[in-house]
Amino acid sequence: MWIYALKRCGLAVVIVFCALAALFALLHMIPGDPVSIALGPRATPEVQARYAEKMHLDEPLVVQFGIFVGNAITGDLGMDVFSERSVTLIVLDQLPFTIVLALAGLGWAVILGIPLGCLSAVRPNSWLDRVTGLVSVGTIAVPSFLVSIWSLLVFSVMLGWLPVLGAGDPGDLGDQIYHLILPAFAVGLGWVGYLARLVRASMLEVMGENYIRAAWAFGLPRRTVVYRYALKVAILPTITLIGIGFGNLLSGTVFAEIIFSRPGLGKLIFDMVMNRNFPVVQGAVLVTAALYVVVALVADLVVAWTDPRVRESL
Amino acid sequence: MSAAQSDGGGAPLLRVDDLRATYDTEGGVVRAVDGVSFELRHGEVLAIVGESGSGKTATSLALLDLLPKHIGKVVGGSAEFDGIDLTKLSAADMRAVRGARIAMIFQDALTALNPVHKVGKQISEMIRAHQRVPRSQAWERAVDLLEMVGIPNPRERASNYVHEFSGGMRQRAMIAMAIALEPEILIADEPTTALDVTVQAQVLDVLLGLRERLGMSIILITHDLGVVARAADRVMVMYGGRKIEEQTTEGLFANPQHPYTKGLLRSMPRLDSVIGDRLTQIPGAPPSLVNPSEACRFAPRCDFARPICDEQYPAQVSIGSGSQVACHAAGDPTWETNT
Repeated sequence: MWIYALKRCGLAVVIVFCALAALFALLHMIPGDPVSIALGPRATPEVQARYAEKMHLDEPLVVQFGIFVGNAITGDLGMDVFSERSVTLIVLDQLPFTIVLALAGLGWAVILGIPLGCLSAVRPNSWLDRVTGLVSVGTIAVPSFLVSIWSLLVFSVMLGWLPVLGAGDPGDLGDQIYHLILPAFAVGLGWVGYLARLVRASMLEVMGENYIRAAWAFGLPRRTVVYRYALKVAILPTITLIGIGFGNLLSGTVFAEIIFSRPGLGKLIFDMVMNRNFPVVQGAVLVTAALYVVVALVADLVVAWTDPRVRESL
Repeated sequence: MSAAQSDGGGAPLLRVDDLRATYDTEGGVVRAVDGVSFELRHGEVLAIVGESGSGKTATSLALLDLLPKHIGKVVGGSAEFDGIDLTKLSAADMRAVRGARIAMIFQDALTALNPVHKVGKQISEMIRAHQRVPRSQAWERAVDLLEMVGIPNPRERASNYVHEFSGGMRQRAMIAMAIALEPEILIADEPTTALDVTVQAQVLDVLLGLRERLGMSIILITHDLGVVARAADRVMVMYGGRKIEEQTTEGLFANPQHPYTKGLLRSMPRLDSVIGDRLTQIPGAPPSLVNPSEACRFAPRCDFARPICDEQYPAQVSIGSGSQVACHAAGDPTWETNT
């Protein structure tokens, strides 16, 4: 297990490095001279040269990349072009909001979706299975921004039960949770259906396996067979998917964040792209990519911890 | 290993009478088990022989209500086991019988043991499903059982997963699980089919040794006549969902009655056969069991079929000493069925 974890971590580092390289290459493919953008059209050549030297823009690309990687590792993601604030701080300011939203959205989807899929698989073609199937396809098909707008209209504007915008008063946990309900609902709804379908499909497959028939033949109680013997195997692809889903949500919460005027990584990237504030975009994308890799790594480790066969496969 | 070991005089441990089971398939209703009757005595090894699709596995699954859910079901007959009819048990009562009083082992132990639980865990889980014993004690018993079936280093092995076991060890582990609660009947569904010949022999020895030690009765499902000759006291031959012949093992090999049984025996290599002789095969394919006709199901492949064989299914004829055969030619001295 430890050897597997170590190998997997090594792989994750390589992937993050590749992401860094891709990001660096992308930035240099964007047309335009950063110096003239930063200093404006009226800067003299001397000032431009001094600025280029200060920002190491006169060095060869390889050296620039080395500096970029070195800075990234030490947590320095550069400066906001306009406010001159540290990009790292800007991103870290927004990050918790997105992580909390993604966790809450996926969390309720997991809590509801997995049992629903499981029950559907245990009693295929029952009314519960049919209703779940129908609703699942519906929720998967409806995009999250539509859910956001409609839930905002119904629960906040018409019924007035929940707040319209913001993330709640800083420091007031109850208020923050209160503000989290609608966005989390909107972000997670599609995932409920998605997870229910996936768990149902893999449960049905596992319930047909020989070892499940053997478990019945050995007189194991229903609960043990379904939850300990079948679900433990059937849940494995779902864990991987949840990892990927969480990674996606890190930037995919952008609609919910814009509609509910919540701070967050998605909204930050969106705003900064609009402002052409590339250092911040770059930093935010890098942090997202790194988090994505970390989450995928955690998912893989959970799968390996559950399934002994996986441990030996790398 | 002879019939003398079983207390032939007493009531049979299991009396199956006219058992019928069907599978619903897209092609129609398959009559997988079509009126099968047999008895199993205390301490006896009864082999059920037949080709794939003859209903031998379906018969044993039907006994324990393990036919595939929503597809297979028992539709008639009875199976009396120690005064209770297995076909009429509630789900909870059936669960108490499964594993504890009638246990079953399967052909491919790799797919029949759970991949994500330790082998010892699965055995102790099975013990704890039927008896109130603490976890640690169940684990100790699992280790003892693994030792009993001849697994070296049972204590370490109990902490292994099934994919870390070799083929023979997997089968032994499953046998250990099956005998954990000293069941009265062990149903072994092709227990040696997936194994090398030497490992086959070892596994059979384990099974037969446990029979002696625990006094179990064994239903041995196989298509390997070598296994039958080695292990069984009595043999029941199935064809097309029905029993076509039943004899003691000696009787069957010495004097097979049904043309199908004769064909099976001829398709086996013999020590005294002339080198260069080809093995005979039975021409044709097994019958479809979707809406089967009332004819003898072997008639289309039988070299000795007469018009009556296409008209009605032959009755079960007793041919002495508990032997039976279902063939129109049986008891008719003018009907030659030997080649």
